[in-house]
Amino acid sequence: MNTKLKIGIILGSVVLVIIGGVVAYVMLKPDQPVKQVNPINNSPAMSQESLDRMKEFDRINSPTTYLANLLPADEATFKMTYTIDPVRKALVFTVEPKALSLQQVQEDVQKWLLGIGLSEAQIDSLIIEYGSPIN
Amino acid sequence: MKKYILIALLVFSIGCTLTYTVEAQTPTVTSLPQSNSISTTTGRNPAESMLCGATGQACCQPKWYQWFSKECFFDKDEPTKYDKNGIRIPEGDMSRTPDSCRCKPRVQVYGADNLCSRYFTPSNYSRIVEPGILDPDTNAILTQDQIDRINGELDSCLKCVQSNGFYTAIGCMPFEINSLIKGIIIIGLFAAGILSLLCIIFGAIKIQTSKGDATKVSKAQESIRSCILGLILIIFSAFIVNVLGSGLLGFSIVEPFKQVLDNSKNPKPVLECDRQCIYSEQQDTGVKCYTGACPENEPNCGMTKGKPDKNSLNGGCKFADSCGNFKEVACPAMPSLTPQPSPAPTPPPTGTITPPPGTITPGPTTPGPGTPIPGGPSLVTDQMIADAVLFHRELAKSCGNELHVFDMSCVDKVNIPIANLDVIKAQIKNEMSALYKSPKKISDLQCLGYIKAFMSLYTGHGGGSWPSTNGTAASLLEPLIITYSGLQYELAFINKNVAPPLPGDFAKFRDYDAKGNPGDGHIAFVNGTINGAQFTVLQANLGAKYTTCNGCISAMVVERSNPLLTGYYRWQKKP
Repeated sequence: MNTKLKIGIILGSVVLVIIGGVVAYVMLKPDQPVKQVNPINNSPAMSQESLDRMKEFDRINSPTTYLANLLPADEATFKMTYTIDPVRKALVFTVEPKALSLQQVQEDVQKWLLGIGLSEAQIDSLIIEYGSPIN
Repeated sequence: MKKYILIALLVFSIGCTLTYTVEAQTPTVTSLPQSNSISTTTGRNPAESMLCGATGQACCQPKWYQWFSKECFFDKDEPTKYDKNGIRIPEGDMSRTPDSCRCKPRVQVYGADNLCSRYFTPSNYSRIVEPGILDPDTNAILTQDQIDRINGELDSCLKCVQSNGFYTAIGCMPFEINSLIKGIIIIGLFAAGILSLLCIIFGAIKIQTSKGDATKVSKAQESIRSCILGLILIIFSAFIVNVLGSGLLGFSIVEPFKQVLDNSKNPKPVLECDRQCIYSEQQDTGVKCYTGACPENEPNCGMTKGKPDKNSLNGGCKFADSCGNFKEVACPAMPSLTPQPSPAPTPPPTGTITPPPGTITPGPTTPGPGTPIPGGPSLVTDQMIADAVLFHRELAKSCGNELHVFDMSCVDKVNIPIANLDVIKAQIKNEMSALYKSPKKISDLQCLGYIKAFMSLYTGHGGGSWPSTNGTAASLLEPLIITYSGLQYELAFINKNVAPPLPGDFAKFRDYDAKGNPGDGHIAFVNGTINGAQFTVLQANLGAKYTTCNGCISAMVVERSNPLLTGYYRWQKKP
């Protein structure tokens, strides 16, 4: 084998090995950003967009369903839950007053119901039962 | 030829350099995890702590060059129950703490979790052991030959996994980088040696056929010289690689040849329990048995095929757990058409469902005599509804209204006197484990998984897990229908315009965006009817106040006229 060729081979090998080492060192730097393998909450479920649509549908067409699905509510002066009356086959909303004045509680409930988007006519159609004010 | 020799030499040199660099910077790869080196204060191998530092769901973050060989996960079985300040961590929160985040070699996960997973998911496993089941890929019925072939492939895959490899179309490949390089080097040396030999033989033939032509003889001699030189270089390079390999990489390329000569074998690397072993539990679906349980520190816990007793649906199923121990498990009884008595009377579900949106009373499931039921009668009894509501309530209490794969112990804590409780709990856990092992790595209870739990309550059998996570709730329900169809029952679909739902039905919702593109949809358990226009449901992955919430369970009032509601699946006897 030609001597020049041998020298060329040896030099070429050394250069390539050095290049390989440098490339490897740069690429394998310990603080390299991490490839994240953690798509943990990628759940197939109904989209929030559809749920918003459902919510709006209920608000317009069925105030009882709409309200029931927003409960329980725990406001400053009252708590509201619902029950199902099997005789009347209807949702009954129960208000547990926290304030001393029932009138104030009723006003607050009215305001709250208006605040969640129900109209006065819709509120009138709801079956709301008030408990005794806390003494 | 000289060029090839040169290239071979360069490849060896560069390969060795690269390997050395990788190994030098990944000192923990080969040393993790050793159970006997667990720290007594943190319960973790200190080396693991280096990798598991982040909080929250991000868990540990392996370096990118480790991602293929490491897997980070929360270990709910973490032995320590104390945080860094020495304060005891409540059991339910253990799985979410940084200290419970662990890293393990991912090679086993790849082998058992991904590459063999089509055989390991319970539904797919059932495809293997049961002739006549549909192929997951082609949807065609598997013949016995195909089943045998798949089982053989499964065995090969298992053996490959147990030898720390991953199973591919061309056979078992080692996954650890030094094993891979070692394999490549050995194959390369073999090939180079054979080529050199052929080269010498070819040169000799050329000399013999030169007919004394001085030029041809000279060329052939030169060729033979080059070949011999190449062979010497290869032998020399093998020596260098062997010195480098044994000194720096920890392997010897001479060893395999010694093994062949001595007919001796190295001890197989111990397959440590993978993630699958941590939260999967051995179960019995009644018809098929499958495995998955494995104590974390148990050696040799590769998955082992179960041995179901095909001759008995109600008898025991003998199967091997993943550590090779054979166990006998009684299969639950087949469902009957008559109401199944509970072990003890169950109180009617009149309490507040958590979160307590109100008191929900299921309506009557059976109409008066002579009353025709639009859509046909349901096999679900009042007792089943009561059991389902009670289970939902207790599960919500136990799990804090949310179920995640990292802490399924709350499911076990539900202890109420209802029929098929163990099967229901197993179904939920199995479903969640399978989902987390799916490509999407879903860690939360899904709506369909919850429905399957209720179906288990009806039937006393597990419904298997999702073969796929792609599709809508309704489309993913199809395999479930097929499963139960095998039991002479079916989930018949009833359009919502035909009649109101009956308690025990599964309400189906579609999902679409503003442009009308379909989404995943939703399915919920109807636990009571208010009137013809409204009914109540229990559901997972959809929360109160019209919100999506991963893994939550909730109650909701549904308006029958809601455009997203399409109808109900009803459990009925097949016509």
